[in-house]
Amino acid sequence: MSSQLVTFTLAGARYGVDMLRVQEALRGPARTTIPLAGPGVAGFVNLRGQVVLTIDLRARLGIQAPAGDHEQMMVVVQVEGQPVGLLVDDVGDVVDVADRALQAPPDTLATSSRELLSGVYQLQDYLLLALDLDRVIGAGASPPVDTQNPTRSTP
Amino acid sequence: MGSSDEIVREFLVESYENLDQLDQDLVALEDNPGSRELLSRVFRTIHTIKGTCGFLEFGRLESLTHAGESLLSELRDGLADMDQPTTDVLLVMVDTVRQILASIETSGVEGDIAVDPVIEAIRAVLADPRTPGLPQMQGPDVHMAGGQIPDVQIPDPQIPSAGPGSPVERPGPVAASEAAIRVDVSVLDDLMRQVGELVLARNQITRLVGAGADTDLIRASQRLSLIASELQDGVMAARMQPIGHLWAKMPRVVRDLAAACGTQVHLEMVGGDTELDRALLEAVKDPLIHLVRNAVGHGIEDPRTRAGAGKPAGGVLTLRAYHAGGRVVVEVQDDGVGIDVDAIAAAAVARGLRTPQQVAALPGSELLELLFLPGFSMAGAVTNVSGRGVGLDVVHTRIAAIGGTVEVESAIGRGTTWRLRIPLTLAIISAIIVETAGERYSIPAVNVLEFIAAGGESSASTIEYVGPAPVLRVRGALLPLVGLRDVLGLPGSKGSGRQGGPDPVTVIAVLQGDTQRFGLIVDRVLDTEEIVVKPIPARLQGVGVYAGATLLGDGRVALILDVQGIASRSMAGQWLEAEPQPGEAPALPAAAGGQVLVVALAQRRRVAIPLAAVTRLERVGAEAIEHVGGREVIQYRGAIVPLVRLDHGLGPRVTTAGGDCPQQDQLVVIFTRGPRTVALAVEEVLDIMDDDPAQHAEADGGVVVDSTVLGGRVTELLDVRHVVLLGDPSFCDDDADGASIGDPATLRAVGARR
Repeated sequence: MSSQLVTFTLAGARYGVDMLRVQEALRGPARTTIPLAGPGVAGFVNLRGQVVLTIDLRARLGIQAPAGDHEQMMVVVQVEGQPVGLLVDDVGDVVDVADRALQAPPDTLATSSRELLSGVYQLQDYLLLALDLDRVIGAGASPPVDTQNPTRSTP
Repeated sequence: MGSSDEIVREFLVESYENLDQLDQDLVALEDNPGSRELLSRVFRTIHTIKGTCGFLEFGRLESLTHAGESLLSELRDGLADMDQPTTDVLLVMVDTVRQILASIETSGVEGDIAVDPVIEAIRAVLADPRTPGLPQMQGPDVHMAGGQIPDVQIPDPQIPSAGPGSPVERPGPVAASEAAIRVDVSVLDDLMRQVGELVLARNQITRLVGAGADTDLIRASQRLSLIASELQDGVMAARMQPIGHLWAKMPRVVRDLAAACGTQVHLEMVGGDTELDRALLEAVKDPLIHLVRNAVGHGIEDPRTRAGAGKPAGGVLTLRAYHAGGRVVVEVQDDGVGIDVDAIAAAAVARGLRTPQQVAALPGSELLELLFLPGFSMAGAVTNVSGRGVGLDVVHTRIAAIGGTVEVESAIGRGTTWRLRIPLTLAIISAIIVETAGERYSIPAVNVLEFIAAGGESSASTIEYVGPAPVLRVRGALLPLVGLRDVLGLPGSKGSGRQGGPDPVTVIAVLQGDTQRFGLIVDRVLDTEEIVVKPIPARLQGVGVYAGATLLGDGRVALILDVQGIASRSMAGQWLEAEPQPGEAPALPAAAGGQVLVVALAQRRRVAIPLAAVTRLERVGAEAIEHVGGREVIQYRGAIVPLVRLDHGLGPRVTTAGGDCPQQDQLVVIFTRGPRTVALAVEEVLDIMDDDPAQHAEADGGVVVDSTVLGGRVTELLDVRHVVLLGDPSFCDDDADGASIGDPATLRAVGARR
């Protein structure tokens, strides 16, 4: 079995996400920041009339913000049926990888970013880090949700 | 196969509708047993179902309806009389028909629902109308769920419209079917979404055209604008359904529950043709049924009690719907026992939800609000029907979730009125766009009362501080202020820069939350716009200050602020928890430097109070001033607070009960230290000024520390500690040092040591 990954770069490293989850890639449109949303949430963008949440992958993976004002790209992926934008440095090719080539990420990686990866592929020219989308988008990307009575918190 | 599926579906939808009508007709028949017209209609309905299921080969359904039809034909022909057992057995038949229909809908077959006992029961009634047909069969299907009100199982008439791809039900009279067509709900939802997009595109074009000069383009854009608005209205109208649709099941709910509770309830429904968006109707359904059950279960007394109270034996429950102030109001009114606010207060205290002091300070109307507290219940009288966790907080939460409010009015012995205020639609709201820190935010227009420009050259009003909290005087009332930058944790807080230079004009949006009113400081007010509310991910809702997001005319996303969320987030910290915790009571600062509150006492005497000692300013009604042992007291936040008046010579004034209190509101300055609070009566709050210790001149002690020149006039500096001791001699009991009263030097020393 093999699968296809859409690759992109972040601070020189190559990452990949399952192509079936990727809806499109585009130049980052104007973003509306969301105060209090927590680190990793880059804001909302208007994607053809749809309000789409974007995640700042650098912040999420604990990578320093880019030095220059390099315009970031946005990869739109589907998570739980909703489109979510991922801010990346550059979008690369689609690569075919054999599923069995997936190896555990090296232990030397910081735990916080390690658990966002499903593994590493050793390709001819470079290492490809496979992102676990559900973990990237899911818990931890935002403050804990207070489902109990968000409105009436009378002391 | 496809066409036969289609036929079955048509049959199901039609039958569900007919059964709803049947429920109503049967209950109506009980009140009006002789009505030939009602009987014929019931007969026709059953006959139609029987005919169709014979054609579709649903044997059980056919034999069941056949038995029902026989009974009904006797009734129609006057061979038997309509009485309670007959109604019961017919209602059970209707329920069984529903169960079979539900089974057909889900699995395509009739399933193994037992019809024989029902048929037997019908035959028994037929054979001898005097024998109660269904001894204790299913009766009205009543469950006693955890001691709650009997959970009368109400067959849901909306089953067909629950899932996507099922047709909309058009309620109402049997006729008028020619002019209406069935439309799939999902089609309407899609239309609504697309109209939302159209409105956005329209906003965008209007914006782009605004600057241009081409007359034709402007004209075309105006036409587009007009058509988009009309289309929006049209689609919204198509989604509207009369609330009567929801009420259709109420007669049955009330009848069954009243029977189970041994009460007699007459249900009146007024304004059933008032229309609501179907999504809202769906959201209101459960809260409304809950309130109706409450009214029948708790509100209306049994006939004997009512007779004892001089009321007619049968209670009246009124459902009323009408438009008011751009919203739909739905009332549930009973003429029952009413709500005892004292019992509520006691229950809230017993549950540990409020302290006795807190409860004592609440006026009656706010005591009723305690009903909506999560976890509240009237545990005092647990019976089969009175709830243990009545769950009115759920009603409140549900209604608040759709932007509505719940009010309750009650008079003991006369009844209770619940009032739900519901917005007309959810999807498109009018909003005011404001700007703060370069981002735009929208505030739902229903929450905005007015805008005030404070500060600057021309304006009379300036932002002042009570303790750390900024306030604004608005027509005599103190409006607490919240900076949007502070709420959102953005840099450059405008609201809290009290040491900043002269502020330029500050724009304040006066907002109305659920219970409180407050001012939100924003940078600029931009525009009003019709916005389409887009949901935001649940985890962002968890932040508590956003109600959603929307797209503005230029295509940017703007966050919609949750006014109530901001209120509870910010106000609690500033006002409700303003009282310092016991044990960490700050020392009363000495009157040396810092800001002072300048007030006028009687005889226009100017007195300055160190601002840091002031907890807050309050206006109390003359009737709120009470007398205890010759001293004046007021109730403040659940505690009895002594009221200190300083007379001309700034000594304590002895007041006599029923004395010469002016019959108007009294402004008081509240000082709190640890658990003790006193109120100082003042005539007027004049100003807040910076005190310059260099100008101080020693005064003669007593309650005055020093005198100084403030604003060009000699002003006395009040010794707060002394004043407090006048009101509450035990105020400083907890001080170990036993500072001698009124000695400014000691006072300063105490202040400095802490």
